Formats: sequence, C-alpha cells, structure tokens
Amino acid sequence: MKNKLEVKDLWHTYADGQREVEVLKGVTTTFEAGKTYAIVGESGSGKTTLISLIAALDSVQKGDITFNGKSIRKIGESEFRLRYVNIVFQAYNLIRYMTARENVEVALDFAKYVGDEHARAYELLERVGVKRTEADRLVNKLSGGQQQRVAIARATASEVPIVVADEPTGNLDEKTEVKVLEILKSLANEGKIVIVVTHSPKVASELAATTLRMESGKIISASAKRAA
Amino acid sequence: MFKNMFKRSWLSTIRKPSRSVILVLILFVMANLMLATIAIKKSVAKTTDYAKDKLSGTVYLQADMSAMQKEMQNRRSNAPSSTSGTAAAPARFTMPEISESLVLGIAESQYVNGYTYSVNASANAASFTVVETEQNQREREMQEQIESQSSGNAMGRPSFQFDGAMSRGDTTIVGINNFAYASGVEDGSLTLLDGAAFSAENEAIISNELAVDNELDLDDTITIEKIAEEESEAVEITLKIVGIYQATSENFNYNTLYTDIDTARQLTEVEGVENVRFYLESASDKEAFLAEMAAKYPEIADNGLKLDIDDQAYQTMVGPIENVGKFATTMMWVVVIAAVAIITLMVVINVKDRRYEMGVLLSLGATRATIVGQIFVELAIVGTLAFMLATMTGNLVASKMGDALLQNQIAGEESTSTEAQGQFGGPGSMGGGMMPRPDQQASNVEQIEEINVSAGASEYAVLFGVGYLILLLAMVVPSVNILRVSPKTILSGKE
Ligand SMILES: Nc1ncnc2c1ncn2[C@@H]1O[C@H](COP(=O)(O)OP(=O)(O)OP(=O)(O)O)[C@@H](O)[C@H]1O
Ligand SMILES: [Mg+2]
Repeated sequence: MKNKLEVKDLWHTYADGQREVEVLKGVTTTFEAGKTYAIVGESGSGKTTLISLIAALDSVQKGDITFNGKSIRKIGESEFRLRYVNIVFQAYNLIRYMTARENVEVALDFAKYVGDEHARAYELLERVGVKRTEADRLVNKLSGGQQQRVAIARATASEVPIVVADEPTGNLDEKTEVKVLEILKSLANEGKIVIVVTHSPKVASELAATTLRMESGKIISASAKRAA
Repeated sequence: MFKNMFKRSWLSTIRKPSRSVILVLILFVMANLMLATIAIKKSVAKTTDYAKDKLSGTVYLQADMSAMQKEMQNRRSNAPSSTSGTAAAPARFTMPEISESLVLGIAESQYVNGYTYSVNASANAASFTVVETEQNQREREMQEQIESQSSGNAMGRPSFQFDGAMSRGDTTIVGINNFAYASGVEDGSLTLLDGAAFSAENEAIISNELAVDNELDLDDTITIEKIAEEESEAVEITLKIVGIYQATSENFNYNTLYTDIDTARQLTEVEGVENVRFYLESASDKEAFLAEMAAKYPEIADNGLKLDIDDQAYQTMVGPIENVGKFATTMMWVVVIAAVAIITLMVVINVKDRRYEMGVLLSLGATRATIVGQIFVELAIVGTLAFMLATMTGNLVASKMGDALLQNQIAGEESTSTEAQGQFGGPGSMGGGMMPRPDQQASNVEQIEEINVSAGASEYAVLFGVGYLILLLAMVVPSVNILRVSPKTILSGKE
C-alpha cells in the first residue's frame, strides 16, 4: 500500500490579541507517496499555516490530518516530527553555534543513524553543493544560500515519508535552485511525499506533479501535470 | 538519545565560552561559600560534641533558668491589664529549693562515683576579728551610705534596702558534705595547709590569714554568733579548728569557714542545699544517667530544677562557636536562595536567547523533556567544573572564614559579657549577690577560641549534592518557559 497523507476539513484560527483570525476554512486534500506537490497562492492565504500543521509544528484545532488513516493526534506531535516529517523553512532553521556538518549530524542523531556520522553528513552536504571547507564552518558564517542548502541537506538526513518545504529556493541562485529541485524530486522518486510552498510559478511547474492553489484559507483548485 | 543530548550540551557550552565562564565563576563563588558554611557547621558540631564530652563527667542539679525565664515571660504577658483597680503585684520569683533527700537519692545511682552539695550560711565573728578584705570594706562603705541616707530621709526610713547585705554577717560558713569537693580544691586554688578535713559536727577549717591574724592554731576553738532578728534569739556556736587552708584565687574571702552540713544548718533558716554536683563513673554514662533520673525523680522538673551538665560552663566553652554555627546556617540558606535566584535568572535569559534553537530541535522531533534535559546538562557541566574548582580553594576559604567569624564573635562576646556578669549568680546566690562567694560554682573552663575548619570528602559530597539540587531548582522556571515554546511561531519567524 502506498503511503497516504490526508487533510480532512481542516480549520485553523489564530488568536490575534482580542480578535480571532480564521486562517484555514475547511481544507481537504490528499497527498500520495512518490509525488511532489506545490502549494501556491497569495501572501496571507494560509500556506505556511497549512504545512505547519502537516509538519506537526502546531496542533490541529478542527478537522484532522491522518497518515495512512492514523491521526497526528494519535501518533503524537513530537513522534510525528521525529519519524514522519522533515521540514525546510524560509528561515533555514539552523542551530547557529554549530557548524554545517554538526547541524546535519543533529538530524542524523535524531534519526539514530548507524555508521560514520561525519562522512554521512559531508556526503549529504556535498549533494546540495556544500563543500567540505564550508561544512566545517559555523552556519552563521555562511551565506543565506549556503544556509538554505544546509537546511535541505539536514531534511534529507533521516528516512521519513514526508518532506515539507516553505520557499526552499527563496535565497538560491538559479544553478543551485535547479540542484535543490532535483534533490526534492529525487526524494519523491524514493517514495516520499514532497510538499513545497512557493511563490514561483516556475518552481511550481518544474517541480510539482500537482499544484494546489490556496485563497483565503481554502484550496480553490488542484491542477495535475500530465505525467511526462 | 542521551548521547545526542550530551553532545548538544557540550557543543553549546564550549561554543559560548563567555557565558560558560561567567556561569562557572558565579557557581564557583557560591560553591566556595557553601563549602565554607558546610565545613564550619561540621566543625562547630564537632567542637560542641567535644565540649559536651568534656563536661559530661560532671552533672549539676540546679535551677532551670530557661524554664524560669519562660515562666516569667508567660506571667508578664498573662498579667491582667484591664483590672485597673488592684494593681497587679509584680511577679516574684524565688529560686527553687533543692532538697537534701533528693540529692542523696540521686547520689545512690549506680552511675554516680562521687557527689557534693553545700549549705551556705553567714554568721558574725564572736571570739575573733575578721580579716580585712576588699569585700568587707566595700560592704561596710555601702552600709554606711545607706545609714546616712536613711537618717536624712524625712520619713526616717531608708529609701531602699539591701536585704542580703543587711542580714549578712561578717563570716561566711560553707557547709559541705566533703571538703575534697569544695570548689577550688580540685583545681588547686584551695589547699589544706595544715590539719585535716572535718569529720564531725562543730569542726571547722579556717583560712591561713584568719589564723595568723588571730593567732589561732589547730585544736583551738572559735565562737561565732548566729544572725537573728531579735537580740534575744542570738545563739553562739563554738567550733573546733581542725584544718587551715590556703586560698590563692583572686578576691577570695578569707573569712570563709568550711564545716560539715549539719554545722552550717544551725546557722541558716534555708532548708535547701546548693552547689549540687554529681561526678559520674564515666562521661559516656551521662545520657543513661539523666534518662534514669528523669524517670525516677519527676520532682526535678516539677520543681523547676534541671539535672544536666553545667550549662554555664558549656556556654562559656562553646557560646561563640555556637553563634558561628548559627551564622553559618543562616549564611548557607542565603547562599542557596541567592544561588537559585541568580542561576534561575541566567537560565531564563539563556532559554529566551535560544528559543530559536529549541524550535529547531522540536521540529526535528526532540521532546520538550530532552530540551529541558539539555539545558540542565549544560548547567551541570559548568556546575561540576565550578564545584571541582571549589574543592581546591574551599578549604582555604572555609578556614579563613571560620577564624574570622569566631574572632568576631569572641570580640562581640567580650564587650557584652562584662555587662551580663552578675545578672544571674550561681543558683541560690540570689540573696546577696554583692560579694563573689568562694563556694560559687566555678565555671573554671576555658572558652574555646579556635575552630579547626576543614573540608573533606563528606563535605565535598554535600557540596555536590546541594549544588546539583540548586541547579535543579534553578531549572524550574525556565522549564515552564521551555514547555511553552511553540515551534510554529518560532520557525515561521513570527516572533
Ligand atoms: N501566529 C499567528 N498569529 C496571528 N496571526 C497569524 C499567525 N500566523 C499567521 N497569522 C495570520 O494568518 C494568515 C495566514 O498566514 P500564513 O503564514 O499561513 O500565510 P502564507 O500563505 O504562508 O503567506 P506568505 O506567502 O506571505 O508566507 C495571515 O493573515 C497571518 O497574518
Ligand atoms: Mg508563508
């Protein structure tokens, strides 16, 4: 059976001071293993909110998210984050006092990687174009693009069925962008569910088999690319 | 999982050296103070034990001063203040009387090796003249002063009166069950020059000074007169001189005669006995002896008496040291509380600075517990370093601090003790406290003016235990903060 991630009638509100802001208003969709998905839509339409819930960074309030029929609530948020999903976010999310390699090793540790962690970390970094000399520098001494690549390398450090990314190519030059998109596609080819939020139509069309368009908290259209 | 946590803690510690160094320094100072207080407390306990041990061989039966003071406070606070008509009579306190039969009963105990008690009286010399001493000179002057004041008084009555001084004769009689136990004999300040101790009624031992002044010798007799209200009641008693003593202590009253108990009894109306001491077979018997006597003689406590090692001597020996101990206890609490507060503050700031890192770790699947664990391990790393450093310097700090505190206490004590002196004389001496009496229970013990403060393995163990406990306590508030970290808000940069 193929892995299946289902979002069922998902609602989400933020308490903004006194006001309640309704950000998701009944999102229902299904993600399947081995495919890449792009989520596009206007700023503020709720894209980050949706994938945060998928990544179990926030608790589901109303509706449900299930993996192979099992709810995140049942699995447990930290367990879900540990074994089901890896993320790449806009802000890189690296631990600043560690080197690039050590950041990747933290993820390897969490994944209980057996083998030579150093070698594996260098390898993963090299795949996204981070050279050894850069890998041994503290991440806060690296450029934005380099940091983004370290974050992607870290997201590939553990074997999880779902990878979500929020603007993963925002800070990358064209050459690296292509490389990153290839890595993401290869993850899907390995059988993972890959979900990417992007503002770039080019990224969406290049990467995704399915593009979901959001507007004020709802998915208004899903367009599937014909299999090439 | 744990390896992972320790690895992160270690990296965080060494990659932020300035924060770690500051923490080590703070903890190092705290640990030194803590070690010093722990070591001081231990050495105080050791010293007081030693003092108790040293004094344990001699048990006193005397008025329970602390019970009396409590009683006095009770009466004062319970005094009816609303009844304005009849002015409440000022509370009067009489010293509890010690009955001779009680003393003799206790003396039967298997633990008692020897015992002593005395009956003290006063009489006037009849067949001899008293030796001029500073005391009787002073007393006479006072008497004259009173008389001149009372004659100038319109009412023809003295405006105040010294009961004790008025009824006091010029000769002091100490009736004691065994001269060998007279105070001064033990420490050699009172020695028998000639003759022997009394063995029967109406025999006396007199001072060499008195003998020389009156050309008295062994087997001579002297006559003294009992002090009485009415002239007609006056009784004369003739005593045979059986011994002559030499006293070397300062301010000794040479007009002191030593007799047996019965002889002294003839000269006083007081029923009770004084200066009761029991010498135990072995100091280690003390607790057993006290327990047995408390059970057998409930009247000891009921009559406001106390059977114990000499409290005054004990206080003299260890008073300043006990105060140092109390101070150390207070200081330990202050250090612990201050340490918890300061470390809490530092960790809270640290946690706040590192919310981002925590969000990242949470997104990678870390549980909040392991994040709390990581922060604690970081603290424990610097703590362990600080505590280990403190074990190297703590001994020096402890002994310097112990010495300084004790010297401070002793200096403070000396300035207050002169005022306090004479407030309470020995038991039974309430009647006339003006003159130091030769038979007063001499607290001839030395104040302990040194403590040997040193920290060893057990103090280090306590330091590490308390130290880690402080670090744990300091984690409470930050842990709550960590539990509230929301990875979504952090990671989507909404903070
Ligand atoms: N923690 C929060 N508290 C209050 N309001 C929030 C919070 N996070 C998001 N919002 C609001 O929810 C709405 C959706 O935000 P979200 O980040 O999901 O949008 P987005 O589609 O990812 O936008 P962008 O393309 O700009 O990243 C916005 O109006 C935002 O202001
Ligand atoms: Mg967004």
